[in-house]
Parts: sequence; C-alpha cells; structure tokens
Amino acid sequence: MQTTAPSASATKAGLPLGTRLLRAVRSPRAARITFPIAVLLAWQLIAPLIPSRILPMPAEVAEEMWNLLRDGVIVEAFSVSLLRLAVGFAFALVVGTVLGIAMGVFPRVEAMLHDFVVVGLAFPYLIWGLLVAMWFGFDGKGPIIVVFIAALPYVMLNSAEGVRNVPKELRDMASAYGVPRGRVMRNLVLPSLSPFFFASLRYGLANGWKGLVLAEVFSATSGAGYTIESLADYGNFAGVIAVSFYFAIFSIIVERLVFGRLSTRVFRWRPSIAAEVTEMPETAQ
Amino acid sequence: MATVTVENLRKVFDGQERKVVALDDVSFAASGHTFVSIVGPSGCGKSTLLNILAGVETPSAGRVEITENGSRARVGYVFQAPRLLPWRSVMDNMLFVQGDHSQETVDRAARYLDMVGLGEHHKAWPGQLSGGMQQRVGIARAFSIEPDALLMDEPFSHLDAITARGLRRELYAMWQETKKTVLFVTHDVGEAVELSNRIVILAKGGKLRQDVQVDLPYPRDPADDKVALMKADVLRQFEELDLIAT
Repeated sequence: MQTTAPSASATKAGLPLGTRLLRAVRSPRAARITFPIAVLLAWQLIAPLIPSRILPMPAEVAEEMWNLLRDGVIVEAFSVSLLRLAVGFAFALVVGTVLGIAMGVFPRVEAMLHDFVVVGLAFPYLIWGLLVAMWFGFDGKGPIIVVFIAALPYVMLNSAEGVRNVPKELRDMASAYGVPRGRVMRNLVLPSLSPFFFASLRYGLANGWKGLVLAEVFSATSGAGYTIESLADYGNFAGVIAVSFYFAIFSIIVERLVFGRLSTRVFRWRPSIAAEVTEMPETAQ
Repeated sequence: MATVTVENLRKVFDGQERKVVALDDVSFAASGHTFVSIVGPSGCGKSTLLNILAGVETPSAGRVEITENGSRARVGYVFQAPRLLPWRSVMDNMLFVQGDHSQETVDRAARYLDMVGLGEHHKAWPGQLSGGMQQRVGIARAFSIEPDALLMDEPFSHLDAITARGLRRELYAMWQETKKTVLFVTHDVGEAVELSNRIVILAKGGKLRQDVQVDLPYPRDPADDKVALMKADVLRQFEELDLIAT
C-alpha cells in the first residue's frame, strides 16, 4: 500500500518480495478477497463432478448474470423492489419509532405491545406473504405491506431499547445544570439513541427486504422475488443462482457504501474511530 | 455571597425489601469564601446530600437552599466521573451547560479551559483525552458558568495519586481566585484537611456527627507537620465516633 508511513515501507522493502506477498495475502483485510476467491475455486473444482441441474458451473452462472444485466432485467427488478422497500420501510420507521419510544417511556405501552413485538420478530414471512396475496392479489400493494410488517418489530424494539439507554448520569448532569429541554433532546437524547437507530435501520431494512422478496413470489408480477421465481419456474437453475449473486452483491454494496460510511461519520467520536479520523490527513497524502 | 442552608434534611429511599435512610435530620449552613468538606464512610449519604442540593433528587423531609443575595444561586457541579457527552467536542460540552451561546460565553468557556491546561483541546472528543484531562473538563465546566457555589462529589477519587495532587492544587488556586462557596464530598481525610477550612463528618445512616474547623494557613502541603497532625486528629475523631469498621 502506498499509504503506509515512510519508516514502515522502508522496513518492508527490506524483505524479499515473496515474504511481502505472503504477508499481504495472510493479512485479515485480504481475507475478504481471498476467501471468496477460494470458494469460487472450490466451486469450479467440484462442479464438474456433480450434474449441472444440481450445481451449474461458475461460467454458466456468470453468463446468466451478464444476460440479466444486458437485458435490463436485473436493474428493472431491483428498482421496482427497492421502491417498494423504501415505501414500506419509511412507514415502518415512522410508526415503529413512535411506538418504540412510547414503549421505552411508558411501562403500560410496553406491557401492551411487548408480546406483539416478540411474535412479530418470530412470525414467518411466508404467512404474511400468503395473506397479502389473498387480500391484495397481484397489484403490488402486498409486498409493501409485508415490508412494513417485517421491519416494524425491529424498529420498535430498538427504539424502545434506545430510550431506556439514555445514560442517567448524563441526564442528572443536565438537570443539575438546568439545561433546557430542547438542548437536552438534541445533544443528549438523540445522540444516545443513534446506535439503536442504526440497528433499527440495519435489521429493519434487512428483514424488510427478506419479507419483500418472499411476498413478491406470491403477490406480484414484477420485482426481484418475482424474477427469481419465474426463472425457477422455467427450470433455469443457473439463472436462479445468478439472481442470488446479485442479491449478495447488493447487500455488500449497501453495507459498504451506506452503513459503513454512515456509521463512521455518525460515530466519529468513538475512541477507535476518532483515532482513525485524526489519522486520516496523514494517510490521505 | 452564596449561602448554603440545610435544615432537618431527611432522605429515605424505597428499597425493594426495606426502606433505606440515606440522610437523617442533617442540618448545617455555610456561606461566603468557604471550603466545606463532607467526609464519611461509603454509603453515609454524602452524594445524596449533593444531589439534593443540586436539585437532582428531592428531600423526603426538611429544607435545602442555596441562595445568592436572597435569590436562587447558580450552582456548578463536579461529579465523581467526568460526565461529558462523548459525542460532543470538549468546547461543545462546555457550551452545553451555559445559559446562552454568545461570543462572550464562548470566550469565557475558552478561558476556563485554558485555566485547567486544556487550551489546545477545544475540538477533541472526550474519548481522546485521558481520565485526568476529562475530569479537568468537568471542573472547567463547573467554573465556567461562574457559579455562586460549587458542589464536588469525590472529583479526584478515580484518578491516580499524582494527577489528583496536581488537580487539587489547581482547584485550590481557582477557589482562591473566584472566592466561591465549595461543598466537597470526599472519603479521603487527607484531601479534606489539605483543602478545606471546615470538615463535616457524616456517619452511616446519614447522621451529621461532627463539624470541625480547620484553622491552618493556606496553601497547605500534605507533607507539612501541622497538616499531618490535623489529619491524625480528624481520624481520631472518626475512631471516637466509632465510624471505622473493625
């Protein structure tokens, strides 16, 4: 890496190329790349031994992936699904945050809703998928509702937990100094909620997405779930796996580009992250 | 001039199994440029007393009041832990407790950070500072609202001996300069003798047992014979009051 400090690269340069390569490959960071490559290699080696209707070759899947991309199928399917996810999740976020904060503040609301949240967390999406198909048919409302239902309990749970976790000693400090309520809200309550808000986003979106895809199998004529189902109906096994890869790639992109960056920014005050932030000007050279 | 009044103060906590009496009929008063240490074994209600004075907890019976020329006084509070907002910079932590955010206020906050030697750390997050530096921010915060009285709850007990000693000197200097009324809770008799001109002894069960005047010249060196003798004397009173567990 070019970004290492001069003294460090000087010592590294002293080592033979082979040793340096080996070290780079063995580093924990490299494992993110090397492990998936190893899995691909293993797949390539094992696939010829197994009939292709059970396990297609990597090349077949790659070709399917290219076809889906070239014909615009995958972009179309994911954009339809993402729109549904966004609408359903936005509702879940608003309703869930309000209900969750109420649960955290009022024991009575907590008592009323606690079991619903527990059931909601464990309830199979399949049942919701079937129910919305019976209620709404194929007009596309069903998947949005399943996203809402799937994400809601995660948002509620995390919001309630967040409210209970506002540090009492900091509240007491604010009250001892007579800090006005609005300032306490902005500087104390909201920031201490943010890790839980993050958990809401992450788990709510992930589970909303899972519920969505399932609901699209039963009650939609478009979207990622519908696409994968129709490929399966045609017996296009490589196609099903190709779409699955897009799912995987999609979740990694969301994690890296959205959650990873957002959390580094929001939690830049945390000691380990703060150290990285202060180091950044040096490594950016 | 600030006046602290505590009259027949009683505080009872409803525990799960039984009621716990934290403070039992405590009365005392202090005013002006006074440094009062409240000393006693753990669990004698020292922190509860400060929390009630700060308005964080309410008394079960009795009356407390901190006034400045007859009206409600401004009170700074230094806690045992720094109690900083970890997600706000040092300067923003200082501003969090101010009445307004005018340039004058910002300058004042900066001046107190300078006073505790943190002039270069306005933008740091608390997590980037050492424990002693964080506690300094807490002290600067309390002084920066220019309070009439200061409440301090074992502010140095979590720090190493050398850091604590340095901060005690700084506190002494700031008290001399600002002439506040200070109520200082500690379990360290040596610290109480070094800093205060009055020591209030609280016993287990929250009873006020002794009010000791410390008439030694400032600044006091803990190694000085008179200071050491005074410390021994206060400890003897602890012994006589049967406050030392055997």
